[in-house]
Amino acid sequence: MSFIGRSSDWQMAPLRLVVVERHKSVINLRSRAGRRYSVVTKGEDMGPRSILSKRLPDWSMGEEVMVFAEALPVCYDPEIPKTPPSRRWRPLWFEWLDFLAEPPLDVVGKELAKGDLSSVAGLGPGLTPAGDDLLAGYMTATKLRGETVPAQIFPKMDTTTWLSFDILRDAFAGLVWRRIKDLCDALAGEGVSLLEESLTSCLAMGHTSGRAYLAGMALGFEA
Amino acid sequence: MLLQRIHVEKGAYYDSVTLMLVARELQSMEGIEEASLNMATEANLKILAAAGFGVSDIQAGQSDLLIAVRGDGSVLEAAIEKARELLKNPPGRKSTPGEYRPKSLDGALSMLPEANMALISIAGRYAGDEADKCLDAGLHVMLYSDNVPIEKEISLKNKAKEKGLLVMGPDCGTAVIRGVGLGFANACPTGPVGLVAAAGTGLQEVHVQLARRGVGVLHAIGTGGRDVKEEVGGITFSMGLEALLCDEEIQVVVLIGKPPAPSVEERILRILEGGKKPAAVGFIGGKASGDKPPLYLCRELEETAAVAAALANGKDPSSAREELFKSYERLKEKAAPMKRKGFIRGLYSGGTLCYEAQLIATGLIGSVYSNAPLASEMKLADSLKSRGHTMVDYGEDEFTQGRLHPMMDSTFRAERLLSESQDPDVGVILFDCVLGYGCHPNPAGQMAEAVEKARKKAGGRIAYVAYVCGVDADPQGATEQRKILEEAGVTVCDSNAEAARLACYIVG
Repeated sequence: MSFIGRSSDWQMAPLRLVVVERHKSVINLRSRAGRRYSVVTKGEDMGPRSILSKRLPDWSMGEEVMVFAEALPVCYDPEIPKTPPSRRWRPLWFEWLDFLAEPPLDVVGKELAKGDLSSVAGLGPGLTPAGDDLLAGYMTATKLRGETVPAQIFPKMDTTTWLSFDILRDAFAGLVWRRIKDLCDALAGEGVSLLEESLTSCLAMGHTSGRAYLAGMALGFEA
Repeated sequence: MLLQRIHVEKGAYYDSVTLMLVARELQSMEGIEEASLNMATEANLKILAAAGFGVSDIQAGQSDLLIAVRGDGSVLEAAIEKARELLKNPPGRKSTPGEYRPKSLDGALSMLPEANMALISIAGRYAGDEADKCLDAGLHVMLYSDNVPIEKEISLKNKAKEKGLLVMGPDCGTAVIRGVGLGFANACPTGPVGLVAAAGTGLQEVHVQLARRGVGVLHAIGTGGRDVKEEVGGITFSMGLEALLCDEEIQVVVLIGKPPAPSVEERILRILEGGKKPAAVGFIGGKASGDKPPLYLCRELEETAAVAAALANGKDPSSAREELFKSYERLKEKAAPMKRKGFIRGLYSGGTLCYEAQLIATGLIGSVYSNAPLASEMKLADSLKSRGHTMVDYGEDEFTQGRLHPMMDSTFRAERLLSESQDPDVGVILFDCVLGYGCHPNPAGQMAEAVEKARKKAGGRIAYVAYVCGVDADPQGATEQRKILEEAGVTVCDSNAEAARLACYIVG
């Protein structure tokens, strides 16, 4: 195996997992308990329950695999930082709300205008529906502010896709992907270039995911 | 048989780059002969009519978009639909996000709190209010947008003056701050000269001519053409000049523009005289005359540059001027074997270049008609129909509302070159190609293609004369652009003034 490292929350015991998605640089696996695990080849794609690998294993879709990660060093901690964002960046996150006025995210924006945050679950375009990305962003921002995420905004399992629901579970627990964690760190600091880099990196998440996540964070900061 | 259709999209505003990109996509469709997307301004309706589209029944206002297509009747409907679809996600404009760029002024300032200047390039009707916000945030403003009401310009400039800030524009397409070009600017060296200009391509021409003489520019402050009118009173021009006079790095001051209102000119010259710095004043065609060293009054752009370069190099400005005008005299010999009968038709992308060419031609061969004439009686009744000697400024508002400036796209001007070439009364076609950042990547190529087509029809009956305003360091490369034109049989001159003179000597 060409595994390099793991995220700190990867379960130490050997895991039996099923290959459910195979992308260019990511393989998503599902555990018996229904949680997502991932093998990724790029450091910036590290997230909760992830392994960084030099190359993707030659696993086929639907294949059941055993993964032993106990010997791997921890190379990523998905827990969001404890430092809240600097108020200096407030004008910047205000403009992230504008993403919701532009296609294709306007469908989410219109739904939000009706006033109910939880109603955007499973809504909109994207592999992970944009409404879920927004909710995850909202949860992340709320956690970052040191507050508790209101349980009523957490969607029911059947309202969205398996992968999206899993991401929301992580966000609710305060676990995030590296791109988001880098952004949280940058927002807590004063460095412009770090912030610029992390925002660019976030925007590269999926087709609409990055923008929806940012809009959700802005809502969460202003809640 | 070719059919045509014009579709009106009510209340739809798109920037001119988007409209050009979509039009190009439509033109590449099989069965489509011609396609254009323009805002329904009076001028654009007139242009469509001149292109053979039936516009008499069109019910549209200037906030509406016109999608006009001509071609095989079976594909017209599909072309209109394709245009509407493409407008939602324009070709060449990535819908996937790239590098993060702040979208609001406050957002940008949070990331760049040390910024002290904003460049505004949005539709004119919104630009004034945005400029107001920038001034409130303590920023100097370069207002690239045009179509800002003069009342707004005056209020912005008064507010800026109170705050000690500059408002460059509206309609300020070019500026250079500490050697960095903004807007349409050429890649010229930095040096001891400071410019204030109420003329965009006038600024570019002097910038380029100075570079050709080995002299660089540190700052070039654009003011927008209306600044030197009586109503505005030269607020930015005066402030810019005062700033250059106080700047120890500036050794030579250059002023450029069409002649200001008399009271404004008087004020500007008074400030200049008080500053005691060597200066070349290039108010093109201005009435003021007589040098008062170290202050030199010039009437043309290249002359202004030659005098300023001499001042910067510690040479005698009067001799430099004399040598330049002697070189113009030698153009008569060059013109002798090129003699043609007929009128000159000038097709310009640069407004000041057009103005200067008219001024020179009027002195050599008589009055010139134009859409932007020297005297009101020489105004063309229809900018699309030439009469006598005609010089058209394609950068005028009538041609740029909802359409790319000709410095960014010469398609429309190239079409005119073709049609003018079919006029048996035409002897010379004169045009410019302005290079630099923001300009079309290959303006010479666009014009050369039209010249080649025209020459096939007109043979050698017409002489083509051009000027390439640019330097080799520009993205397009001046030498390369010149070569493209020369290979198409165009005689390329070293300055706008030279090109205008050569054209006159050919028909004179």
